Amino acid sequence: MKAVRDATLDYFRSIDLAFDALDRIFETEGIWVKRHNLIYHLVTGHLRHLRRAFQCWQHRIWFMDSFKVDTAESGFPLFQNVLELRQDAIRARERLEDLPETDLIREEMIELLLKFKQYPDALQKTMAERLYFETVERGGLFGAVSRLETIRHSYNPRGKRPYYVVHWSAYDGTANLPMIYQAVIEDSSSDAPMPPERRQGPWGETDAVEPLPGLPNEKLTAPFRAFVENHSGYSLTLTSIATAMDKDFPNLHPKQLRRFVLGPVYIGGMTDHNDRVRKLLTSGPAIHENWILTWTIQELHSQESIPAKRGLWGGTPQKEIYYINTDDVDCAQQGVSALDRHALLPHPVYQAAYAEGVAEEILRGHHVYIASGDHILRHV
Amino acid sequence: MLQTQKLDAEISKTKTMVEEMRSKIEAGEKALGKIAESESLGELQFDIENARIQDVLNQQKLMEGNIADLIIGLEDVTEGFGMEFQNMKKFSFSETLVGWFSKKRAQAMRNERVRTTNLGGNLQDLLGKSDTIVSILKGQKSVLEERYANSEESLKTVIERRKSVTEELKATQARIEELNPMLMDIENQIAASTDQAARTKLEGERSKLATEYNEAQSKEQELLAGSQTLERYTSMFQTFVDSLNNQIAAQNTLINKLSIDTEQRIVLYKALEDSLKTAAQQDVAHKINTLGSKVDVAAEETMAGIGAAAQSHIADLLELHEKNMVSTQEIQRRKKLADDAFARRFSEVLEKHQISSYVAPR
Repeated sequence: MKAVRDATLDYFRSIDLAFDALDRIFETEGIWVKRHNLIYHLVTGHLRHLRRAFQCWQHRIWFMDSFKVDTAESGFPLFQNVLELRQDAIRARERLEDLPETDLIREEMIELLLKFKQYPDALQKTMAERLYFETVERGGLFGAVSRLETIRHSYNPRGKRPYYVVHWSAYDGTANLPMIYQAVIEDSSSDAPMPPERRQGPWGETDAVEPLPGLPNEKLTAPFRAFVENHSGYSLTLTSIATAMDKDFPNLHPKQLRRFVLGPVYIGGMTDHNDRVRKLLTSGPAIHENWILTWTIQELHSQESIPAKRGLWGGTPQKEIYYINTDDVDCAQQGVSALDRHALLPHPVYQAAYAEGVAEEILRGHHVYIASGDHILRHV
Repeated sequence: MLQTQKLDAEISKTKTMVEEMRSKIEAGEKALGKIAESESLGELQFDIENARIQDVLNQQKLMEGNIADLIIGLEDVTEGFGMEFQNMKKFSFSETLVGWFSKKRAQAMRNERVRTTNLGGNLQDLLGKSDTIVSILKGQKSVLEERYANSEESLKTVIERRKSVTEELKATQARIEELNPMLMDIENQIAASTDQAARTKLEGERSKLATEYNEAQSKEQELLAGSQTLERYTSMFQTFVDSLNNQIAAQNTLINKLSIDTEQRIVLYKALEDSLKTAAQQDVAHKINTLGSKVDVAAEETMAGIGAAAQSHIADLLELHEKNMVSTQEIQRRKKLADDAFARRFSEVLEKHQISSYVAPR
């Protein structure tokens, strides 16, 4: 029992460390790679929601019988846990009213410890339950599909149409992976709103733009939201999603679609996938931090668009043709224009991998980040 | 949303039943506690308490049956979802009509239908319901465990009392055995004596012994009646404690079955939904966009097979598949064990279900 409890706490600790290092990367990554600037800015927001969800789960393990983690594929908790967070958010209020106050529980615990010299097991559970429901009630947790948000509303002078940059996040149910989508969509409907006037400061436009929920085009927000809920699976390629979006909304033309997939994460002693990594993380001298976090950024952009035809017997709407990089096998298989793989590992793990000579095979094709204390090493 | 409204009504009915049962068990247990400590052993009181305990046991049986109904009802609702998936796989009537003229067009229509079906809300709903049922079951189980502990204590007290009463009875009977010949002796002495003074003294002794003898006899009858009553009490307590034990085991079975069922359902449901949508969409999208006009799945696989990078990719996929199979087998095995235990205990309820529909007629 104790071994299981320790293993679970280890799991959460490793995930915390991995996310801390990830935060540090994202703070500065935008500076290094201009192209990814926007997506990293978005990802930080969603990552905060994900970390809050992990905090909730950490409270939950104290009073629940079991907590399921997908150790065979992604290393993240099962989709069921994400659904249960939403369930508990609904009944958080009534549960909180049933449970005693935190201060009261704390006093009782102290009394039990000092007066009766007993370990307050049951009170720990009550405290954990209380903290769990309080955190869940505060909201802002990663859900199955998140709200839609527009962070940029601009005007394309060449096409003379407004375009929106929208983003949302989703937790895939089959692969148990958190994903974040970003789309640049041109709107050619007749009532598409123009971007609001921005104040001109002495050195150009001032950049204080509030992100809006939903699309700026009010009428399309609800159907777009329904579309997003149906088409956010990991098993759908970007081509499928973009083509479906193009087809379903004749006035919206997705010009670029990006997907940030966080995972899989490999935790020594817990996850089973990828034999080589597992052997690396479990064998050898006991490493204090033994985890590897990987993520992928997939990108799809449109290379040309077939203009709309209008004729006597009906017409066809404008259609986008997307560029798929057929030179690269991986790109072709996943149906994307570009694919970036990244891996983050702590210093001791990289040293162990290098010493055994497996660093090259494991990390081939990935951009490697090494977390060493407070620094991030790149370009190894 | 399918049949979940009826399930809602059933769940709230069960909740009220649990509350009733909880208060009844409390009353029954209090009564038994009183008996265990009380000094007098009135017959009349016994019958009333017996009836109350019977009541509790019957209520419990009803409760159990109701919860099994809920679980079966939940399974029915899931079957309903299965029907939805079946419908997605088949062609609808209009699609079959179009299919006579153009297979491609019919498939495109079906793909549209599958693509735009939204199934997310149902799964959340199902999880919520099963969570509620599990929490009802767990609450009930904790009540039962508490009562079990208390009843065990009361049972021990009653057994102790019965032992002491039996010992006292034996002692009294032994005294009576002693007194009998002594009385006979004195009677003979009185009959044989001639002296008046001696006679008076002997008569005095005789009356003393006779009083003692009568008292002992009446005490013996009292103790005998008491011992018999306590015996009935003991068997009554024993039944109650045994029944509680059984119910706790049944509760564990139910909770187990429901948790595994929900787990399996979510994984399966998600995978089904994904595979149906993916199959419908990828085909179309790739055909429009990628590698030429006629993209064959086989051709794609061949292309992916080319190159060293792809080979290790496939090896990884194979490893992955094995892990997935193992975990699926594990879930299947646990489900089978829980299913068997469940079927054993509720064979009657299942039988009733086979004959007629359980969750109110559709």
